[in-house]
Amino acid sequence: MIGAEFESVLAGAQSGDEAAFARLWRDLNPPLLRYLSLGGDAADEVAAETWLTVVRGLATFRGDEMAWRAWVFTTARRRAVDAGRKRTRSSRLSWRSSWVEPVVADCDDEVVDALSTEEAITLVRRLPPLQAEVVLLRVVAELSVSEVAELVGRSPGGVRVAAHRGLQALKKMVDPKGVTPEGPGTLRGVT
Amino acid sequence: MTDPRPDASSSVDDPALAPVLAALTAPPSARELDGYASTLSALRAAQVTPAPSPSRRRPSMLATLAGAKLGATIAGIAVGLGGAATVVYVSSNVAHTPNSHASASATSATPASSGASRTSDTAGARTGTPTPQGTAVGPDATGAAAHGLCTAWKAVAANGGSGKAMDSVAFTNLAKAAGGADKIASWCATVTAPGASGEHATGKPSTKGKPATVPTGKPATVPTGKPTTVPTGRPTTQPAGKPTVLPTPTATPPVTPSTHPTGRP
Repeated sequence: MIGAEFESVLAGAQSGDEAAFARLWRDLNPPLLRYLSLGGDAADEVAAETWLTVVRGLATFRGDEMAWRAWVFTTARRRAVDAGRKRTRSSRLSWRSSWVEPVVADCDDEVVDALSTEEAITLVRRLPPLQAEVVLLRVVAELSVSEVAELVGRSPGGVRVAAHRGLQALKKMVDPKGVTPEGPGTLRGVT
Repeated sequence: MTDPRPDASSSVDDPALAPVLAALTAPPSARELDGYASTLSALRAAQVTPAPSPSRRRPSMLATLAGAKLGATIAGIAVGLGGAATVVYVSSNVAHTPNSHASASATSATPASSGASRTSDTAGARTGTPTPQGTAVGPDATGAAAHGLCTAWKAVAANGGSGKAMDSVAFTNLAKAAGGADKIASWCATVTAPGASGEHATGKPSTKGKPATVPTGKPATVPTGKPTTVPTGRPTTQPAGKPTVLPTPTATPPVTPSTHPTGRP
């Protein structure tokens, strides 16, 4: 997140200041790649296509940082859906309802003390597609519930439930015994 | 949006999740900051030829729905007005063809097409070329809309006569009908109100005041009971005789089927 300076950074980028645009890019490209890695190996490609669309619309974009992030991720999702469709068509797979490709767990004890980002995303990809996407949009893209709801085409309630279930399942993955320092009631309060 | 219900933001405090969330939100790796060059060249290309397409955020579903409903309402009102206008013009025997329908349908088409273009933002943003979904035709100044247009024009002209309104499609049509923008005033002077040319009474009634006799109280005779005559029996006239034309089949089936089933069932 850029924060208070966002408005001036965006204005600079819109008036052709490449350093200002670079700041926007550096802020969003990593979360963009992490989000797009849900779709498989083509994340870099899809991210590049996303930025292509973004720079075309940059001059006419109006809004605050949340709107900006939501717009970039909305664009990314569309590019990912397109890429997913293309891939599905070429590999003659059956129609999938989501561009997110979940992975199957190969072993249960892959959890280590210090997870790398890639490992964490691999864990997220084990979730059902909607949960995986909602978790990443909430945690990595830092979008609000209503923005995520709009983006994935679900109700805010549905997004909350998916986020909660996804995080619950993630918790089980990293802590299979279900033992948390505060006891099992920690998450009870949020259900 | 404040909602007391829980979601990710309240679950992220769970310590068991901390390592995953920390990894997901870790500072960017060098690999993740790779690939800026292609975007930068795209940025430079875009700045040379700025795309005309407005790339807005997709409006919320609620807004889209509200827009659609509003559009439907406007369309309904417009069609209703068009119908009413037709009745007025037909009954007052004005030679004009009522064009209200044309203008009404043009009005109703506008919100729908704007809704469509809103949802097709994707395509617009992708190709960089906005696709207009129809052009405004505006009311026909030579037809039934003339009087209303003249009234509107006079009102705008009285206020200085500048601004966007004078450039509108409707006033452009009016200027065309008048043979030039500077001739609108004189042309409008010749346009009569739609009701004036018919046999509708103009002006106010000559006598004012209340009617001399006002019916008060209940009516003296109130119909009570059932009607005295009730149609009974059969109708007096019945169609007599046979139908003069007998139906004849146009195609006769062959007497014998051309193929017989052979063999056992």
